[in-house]
Amino acid sequence: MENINKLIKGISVFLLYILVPYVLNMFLPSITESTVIELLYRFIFMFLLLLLFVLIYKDDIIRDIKAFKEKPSRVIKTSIIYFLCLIGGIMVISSLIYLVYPDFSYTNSGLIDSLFEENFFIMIIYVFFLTLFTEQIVFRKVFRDIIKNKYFFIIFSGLIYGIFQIGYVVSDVNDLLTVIPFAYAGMILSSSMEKTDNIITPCLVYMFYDLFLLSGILMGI
Amino acid sequence: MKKNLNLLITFLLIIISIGVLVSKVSSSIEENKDVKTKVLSKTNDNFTKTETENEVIYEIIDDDLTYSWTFDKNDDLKNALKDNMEIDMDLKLDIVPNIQDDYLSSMVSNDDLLVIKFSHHGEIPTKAKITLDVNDKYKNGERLYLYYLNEEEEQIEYIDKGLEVKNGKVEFTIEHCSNYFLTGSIVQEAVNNPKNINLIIIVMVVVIIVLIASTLFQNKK
Repeated sequence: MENINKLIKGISVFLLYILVPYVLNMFLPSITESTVIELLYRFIFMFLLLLLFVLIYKDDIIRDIKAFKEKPSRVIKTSIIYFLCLIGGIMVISSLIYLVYPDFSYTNSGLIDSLFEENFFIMIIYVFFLTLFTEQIVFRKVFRDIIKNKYFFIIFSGLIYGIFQIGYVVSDVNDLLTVIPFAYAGMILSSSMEKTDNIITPCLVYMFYDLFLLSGILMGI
Repeated sequence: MKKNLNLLITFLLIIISIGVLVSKVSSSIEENKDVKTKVLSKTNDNFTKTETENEVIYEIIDDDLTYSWTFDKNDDLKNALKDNMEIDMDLKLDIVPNIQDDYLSSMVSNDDLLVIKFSHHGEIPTKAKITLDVNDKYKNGERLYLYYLNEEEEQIEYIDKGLEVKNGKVEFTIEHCSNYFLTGSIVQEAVNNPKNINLIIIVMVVVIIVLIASTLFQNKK
């Protein structure tokens, strides 16, 4: 019965994660022409969604926070190691892709860059807070609760995470290649959660990675 | 668990209600949309013809608007040149930064359109690569969609995607001249769109099947 409960919870969270942004994409562009207001609406709805996810997994999250407070060094140390694996791996994978396919560019990078340029602070909160926690709950917590085999969990959740990062559109080689580094990132985040059995670990890895990218943006790289 | 499910159902109902309400409001907003447009002048055209080993390039500077046509040196082009294509065919085009007419605005809900109107209408002797300065409208790195406005069939037709803005310019290939438009996001109303929705459904179904199968497998154990 406990497994069935986890399955219902997991599928509900996963479906909401897909449906809410889809509904927002349908109606937000038509109610305002301002990108900032649109982003703010999106932010509010996604915040409510995250709140709902946290409520659903409230007990587990409280347990993880307590475990982190008891032994923070283990989680932080693991996060740093996995963050370094993430950075190194992404660099190697990207270089290999550029070698094979010189015209490669990340499918959604242009759009994200322009959003950052126009709405820097909203995007920082959006990425550092909302995306960070929501994605860890959906792709890590939901999948880990249901899939017991650790290798299958890491590979499957990473692959699905990779596909979701390209905005569901796969129509050319570039889109397909973009899945690879993101899927790798997903696998690293899932592995970090598997290692410590604590959702705070992938959150920290993701946060370190965001800080790394942010420093790049601020330095104009 | 019951409490969480109730909360989930309530949230879903709210989202669906808002979606229905806003889509109705948005359709009335779209009908009344009045976007100021700037049509660039076609006077004082400055043509430059450059021939390379494999290509013939016509660069046109038309006041603020710079664009070029590139034709491959193939048999089709040779035949066309014999038929004085240069004289018969008008290479001018206009760009309109936003939705100009009610006709297009009633068909497309995207608000970041760049409409491209070719002076010549109809078939061209061979494929032509158009390079267009879009610096004022889109940022470098943005990836654009190209659509054809088929006025006879009264429909929008998907032509190409992933057109990256490089150095303020975008390149695309056409086989006939008419009215086209660029946009940063997919036009849901268009025909022949890349199969993005199908991919979402496929991924969603795969994830749900895997999660259910994992649960059943666990229960059996």
